[in-house]
Amino acid sequence: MRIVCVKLPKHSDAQAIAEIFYRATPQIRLRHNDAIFLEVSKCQHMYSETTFIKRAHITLKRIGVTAELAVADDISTALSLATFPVITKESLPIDSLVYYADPLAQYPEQHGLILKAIHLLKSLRVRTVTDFLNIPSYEISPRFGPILLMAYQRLQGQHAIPWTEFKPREIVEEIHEFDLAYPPRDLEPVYFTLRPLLDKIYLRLRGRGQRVRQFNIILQQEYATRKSPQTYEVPIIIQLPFVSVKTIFQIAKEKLDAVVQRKPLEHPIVKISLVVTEEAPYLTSQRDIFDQKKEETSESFFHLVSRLATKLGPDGAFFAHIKESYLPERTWFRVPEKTITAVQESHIPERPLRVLKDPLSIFIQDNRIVHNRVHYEIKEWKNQEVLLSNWWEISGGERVYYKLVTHTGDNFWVFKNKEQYYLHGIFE
Amino acid sequence: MKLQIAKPSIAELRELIGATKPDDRPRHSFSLYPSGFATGSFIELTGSQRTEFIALFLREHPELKVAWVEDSITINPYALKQKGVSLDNILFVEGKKDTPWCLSQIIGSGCFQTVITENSRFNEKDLRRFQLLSEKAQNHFFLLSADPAASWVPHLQLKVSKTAGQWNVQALRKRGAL
Repeated sequence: MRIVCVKLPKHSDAQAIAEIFYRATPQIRLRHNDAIFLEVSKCQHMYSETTFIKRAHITLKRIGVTAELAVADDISTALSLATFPVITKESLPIDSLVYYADPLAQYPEQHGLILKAIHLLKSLRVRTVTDFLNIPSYEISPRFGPILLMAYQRLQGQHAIPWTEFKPREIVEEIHEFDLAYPPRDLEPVYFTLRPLLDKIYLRLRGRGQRVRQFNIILQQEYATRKSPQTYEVPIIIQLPFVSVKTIFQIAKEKLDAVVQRKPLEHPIVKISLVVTEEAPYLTSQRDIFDQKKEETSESFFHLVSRLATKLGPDGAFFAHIKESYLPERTWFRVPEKTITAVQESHIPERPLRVLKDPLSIFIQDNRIVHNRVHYEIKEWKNQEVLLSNWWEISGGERVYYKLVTHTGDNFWVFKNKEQYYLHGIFE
Repeated sequence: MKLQIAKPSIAELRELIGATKPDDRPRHSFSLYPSGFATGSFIELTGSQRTEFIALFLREHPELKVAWVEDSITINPYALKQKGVSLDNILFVEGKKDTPWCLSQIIGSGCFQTVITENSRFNEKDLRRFQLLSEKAQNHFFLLSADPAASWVPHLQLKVSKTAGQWNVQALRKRGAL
């Protein structure tokens, strides 16, 4: 078993950082917010230990975390090597017994006892763990207590710590609280904070094999006012996959700018949080190194679609997915991503190129139809077709469709339902 | 001796002042309009069969990446498919009140070779912007209008109709080398 210990600086969110590494290994344990332990022996076919450490350093740097990393055969040794500036287990100082006695910091009430025992060992000139291991095992418990016996046995490779299931948080959220002494009054400092937060969210979701599809940026002002609430909530929609963080940031910045321009901030901002409201599977594809232009075009296309979706809503920019149905309103639906459909032969009669969202009630009298205040004289009624729709809909029940050919060359698609005529489409 | 005043045609005058330049822009051929459509051109289509006309153009060029922008979507993708149009390369955009903004973004992105929209209260400034952007991005900009616009912006205004299966394509106005 090979364990990588990521020793984090104070006030880190270990759970969130651990989620980033969930992609490399599902065997993860945390020591509160101090350290993350990753069991990497199963992913050695993909990365060597050195590569893994290098990649981990880059990933942590990207989210602005400076951590100490060490690899060892067990959790306690990995943690000790990450904490103390030594290379081998044998040269670890006696202070590292804290990590052997309680590696996951599960028994804080016993820490006093451990420190007392370490102090006693130091007074006996036991400086390293090698010195400690020279003491016969039967003398450990009566002299230093059972807790150090546990540490002694762990040093000898016994009492392995079981791996419990690591569960990523259900809600992916990143929060940054600004210094209350100097809270920002405009968006510029917010953007500086936003980029690392986006990076972190992107990596956390990537760790679970997902990507962000929709998220909210919540800006909290210092005070609420009568006119406006304390928080600004700005939804961002990333319609298509493979959009880089840079693009997501540009979209978010654009949207925030527009929102704040429309409704200016009234008080300084004290907190910014990003909450992912919708995820989608992350589908990996190999980069086409021979056609860089294609990659760039795809990226700009995804950027454009996401910007449109953020401005217009998720249904604003879409591809059409075809479904065979006699009812014209059910022959296609909107899909955010391109779907490849098998080519099917259509057995449905010709449909008009323009179909109104809601059929328009019209009057037909003396073979004349009025549409957009223009009178059309009907030349021919043809292509009669009877369709049945759901009875609970406005124009439900039986619909008898006709293609009306006018003298001006216009072709209307109308139907008769309950003695009333409706215009449903135009053969344009 | 009687003085004779020669009345040259507009085309001759244009040639005399060097206003006619050979158009070397790439063109997309079209069976219903044999001279084809040059890239970077603003084409206004009017007439009763304008949507079918553009559908047939798309059928002949399935490789073109298309953005179809409308205030409120009335185009029927199923009917487009029945006409033989491949829907894989068509992005539909329902711009609502932001249609001019959407069009500027779409044309300016350079991701699409053809942009199609319906005339929805665009002012002269909007149309001019679309024209300049489509010239820069080298794409076709098709404006579908019920009636021909009085604007000078379109390079080409076509009135299309179909009677008894026969297409009638009438060029109302041409500007530049189109």
